[in-house]
Amino acid sequence: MPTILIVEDNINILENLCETLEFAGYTVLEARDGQEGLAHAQEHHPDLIISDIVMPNLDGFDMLRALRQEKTTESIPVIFTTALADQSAVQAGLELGALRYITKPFYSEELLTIVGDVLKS
Amino acid sequence: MATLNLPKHITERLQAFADQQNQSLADCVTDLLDQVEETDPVGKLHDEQATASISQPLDLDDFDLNEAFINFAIKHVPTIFYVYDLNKNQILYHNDTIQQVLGYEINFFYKMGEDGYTTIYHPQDQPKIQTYLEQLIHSPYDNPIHEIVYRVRHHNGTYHWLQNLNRVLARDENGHPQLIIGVAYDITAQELTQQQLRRTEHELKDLNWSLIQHGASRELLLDQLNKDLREREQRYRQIVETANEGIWVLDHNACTTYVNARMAQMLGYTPDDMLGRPLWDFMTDEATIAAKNNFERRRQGITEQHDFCFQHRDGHAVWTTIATSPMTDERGTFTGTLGMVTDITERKQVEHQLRDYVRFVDGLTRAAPVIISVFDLDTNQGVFANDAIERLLGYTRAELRNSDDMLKLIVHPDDMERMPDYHQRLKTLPDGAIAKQEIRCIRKDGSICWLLMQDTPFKRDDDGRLIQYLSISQDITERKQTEATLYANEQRLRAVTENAPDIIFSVEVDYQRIEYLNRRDFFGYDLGTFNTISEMSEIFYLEDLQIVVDAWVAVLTEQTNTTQEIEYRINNTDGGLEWVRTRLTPYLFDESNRITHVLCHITPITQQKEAEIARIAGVQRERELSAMQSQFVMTASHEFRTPLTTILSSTDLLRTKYDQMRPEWRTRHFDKVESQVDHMTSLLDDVLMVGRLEANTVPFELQAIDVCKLVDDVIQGAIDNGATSPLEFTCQQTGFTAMLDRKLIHKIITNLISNAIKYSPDGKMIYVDVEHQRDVFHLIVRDQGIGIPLEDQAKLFTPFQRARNVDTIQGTGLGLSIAKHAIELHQGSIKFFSQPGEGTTFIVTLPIQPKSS
Repeated sequence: MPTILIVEDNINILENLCETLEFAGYTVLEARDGQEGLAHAQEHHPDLIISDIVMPNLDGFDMLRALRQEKTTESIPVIFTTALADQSAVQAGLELGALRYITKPFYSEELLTIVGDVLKS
Repeated sequence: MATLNLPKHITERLQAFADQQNQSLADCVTDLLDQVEETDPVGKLHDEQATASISQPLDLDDFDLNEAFINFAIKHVPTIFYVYDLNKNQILYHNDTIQQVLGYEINFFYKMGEDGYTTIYHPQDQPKIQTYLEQLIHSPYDNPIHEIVYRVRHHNGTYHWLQNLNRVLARDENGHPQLIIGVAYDITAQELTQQQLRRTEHELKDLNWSLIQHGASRELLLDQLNKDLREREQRYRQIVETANEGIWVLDHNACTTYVNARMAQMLGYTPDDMLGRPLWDFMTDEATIAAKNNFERRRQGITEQHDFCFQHRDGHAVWTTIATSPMTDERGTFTGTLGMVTDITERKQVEHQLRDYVRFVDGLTRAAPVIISVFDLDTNQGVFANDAIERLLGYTRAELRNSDDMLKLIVHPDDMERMPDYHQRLKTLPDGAIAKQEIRCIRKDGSICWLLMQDTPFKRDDDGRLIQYLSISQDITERKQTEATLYANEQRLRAVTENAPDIIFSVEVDYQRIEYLNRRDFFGYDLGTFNTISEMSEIFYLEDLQIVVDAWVAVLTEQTNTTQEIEYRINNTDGGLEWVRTRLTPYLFDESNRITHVLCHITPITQQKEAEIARIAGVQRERELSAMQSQFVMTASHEFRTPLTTILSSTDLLRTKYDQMRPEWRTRHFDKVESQVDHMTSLLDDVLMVGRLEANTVPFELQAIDVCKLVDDVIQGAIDNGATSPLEFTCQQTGFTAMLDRKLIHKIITNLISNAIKYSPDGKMIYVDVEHQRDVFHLIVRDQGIGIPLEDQAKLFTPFQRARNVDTIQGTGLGLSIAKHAIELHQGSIKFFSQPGEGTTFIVTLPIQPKSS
């Protein structure tokens, strides 16, 4: 089964995402901020990264930029989960190469559908 | 014959000629003069020019130029030029040449009394001079030129022959000639030569007579005669060859048999060139007709003197005066003529100039639209005035002359007072200088006439004292009336503008001169002390000076009449700034459409401007608030989405995976939902509180509160709620009260203490102090917790801003923002010191009694 890295500074959300994806059968890696996320991605080369945007140390955008600069991580698909309803922020993420974004709050089913789609393509 | 005064020998010859022609002498002379005039193409040409120049409109500029030219000519010609007063028998003016010719010192002729002249005339010429003057006094209106030759004694005692030409310059009111203008040539050399020749002829005749009477032997006589003749011929030839006159001998066919060198040179030939050639070869075709007539008269035995124009070899006219007589052989047969020729080209030119000048002056004075007059300072009367004075003032010249005091009659009494001073000033002027004054005259009909007088010294006495001045007066009444109207208009405008709150002035562009100013006082300055716009620049506020400079440059470079409008600040004299609006409008232009005057209109607009600035600041503040609000809404929505995400995902899992879940996980999800709902509730409370505080709608009611007791209650409440850190409370002075809003002060203290507990995860001691200082008290809350990173300290009181090191510690990010608002509402302040990892200290200072606002 594909490995998914979740990057999220809110512990409640992180736990719930892990549980939801594990129930769906995925192998899940956890990171509490962008810096940790970047390190895990470089070490484990996950099949997909689901990341928050506003995080301490390194935010989601900066992490994505760093990923795209490394040969080994440049092609890992990234889905942003965000509480930023601002369209310009969403646009900025997509321009950086994020495949999709999901606005918080979201239903688990919706997340799983998107994850399935991204991994299939 | 009254109009002519010819030398006697010519008159005799004319008489003989007239007798031969069976004519009266007058008719004969008229015919001859007509012939001369017909052969006078140069003279005619000059007449036409003179007429043309007079018929054109005259103005003073032309007058100056011509006068300058004529003055120059008069001064430098070798001809005496003078003006003579027939009534006073006195020379009024002569040029310097008279001195050179007659050797007397300057002013000799001016000083000379009425009878003085007779002392220098040759006694033999006195009667004919007397006759000549009579002729002049009766000179007819067609103004002929009179001529006389007489002798005048040179300063060294010798007599000089002067040929005089005269003409009337001005007449008195009775029409009698009063001033005559004259030129005189020194013809002494010519006369002496002719006398010498005549003497030689006489000597020869005398010799013949004496020889015959003494009955000497024919041969001896002949020998003696031949010898004498050779000697005399030699002497004669010498005289002839060196004579200043041309001598020309023609045979009976008018062919040249002899010319002397002077004659040939006069016409541009050598004597040999001319020998054998007929007289007509040396003149124009027209002149030939007259010359043939003349020669015919010689054939008839008439001796004459007349003017004649030859043609120089190079074509130009050579004016001469010729004395010619027929030559006959012993049988009385006509063998030819002898002519004595004097070059008078120069004299003719002067004569033409003089004629032109006389006509010019005459025409000028008649036609001039200005009064030309000569005023005598001794007699206090005008001695000459042209027609214009009658046209302009309405008096006849006779009326003016016969008045007791001419000036008193015509000069306005107010201006009359100035006249003595003015005359005094004229007396100090050098020759050629011009004094000006504007005076009012009273016309005969009683109306006022403004005259611009331009006066120059005219005649001085022996001591050089001015006795007459020449005056040219221009009628400027119309201009003065226009000026008066303008002045009245300006006064009206001034009255209007002086009562305006604005400053209005005119700037003359070339020198930046401020020429008109409606009011002097302006924000404490006296604008009247500024002569130029540059001097005024001191009042401009330095930072805005460029705006003013740019506007001026724009006005002057665009060269159109568009108005520049600018707003800038000026320094008032109290050290403050005032806003003004200035409009620069070009309103006067010169003939090439260049701007010469700009109207500068300054309006004070400080109040207006301040209102505008306040309005702009208000708009700006509104925009900032609006931006803050939308930022707040966005951040708030973000803060709500985060707990909602947990709630939704937990309920999703509980709903779908309940059966597959371990029981403790189920509990955990229920707890999460509950805590997130609690968080959202407090978040909502805080958001509403912030909104109320910012909108200033929170209830605010001051009451006396025992501060120490309140703080103690809050600490006790925290401990009861299971505070994870110990709290130590010290209060130096218990029991004091302060005027506070109970709800808000409770919120402030609770927020600070709960924060201290929340961010002290290690459970270290928290110190709370209350210090009372006169009219304020301090609340100090010090923890030893995680501290606040330096980079987050600046935004600590901003809504939703939480430090990056809060990790999982719950919080809305609104507590401190609310506390700060509440403290400020009590007119207090809050500050903090923090070291990450070591703890934070908050110090709240509040007044015991807030000032009522």
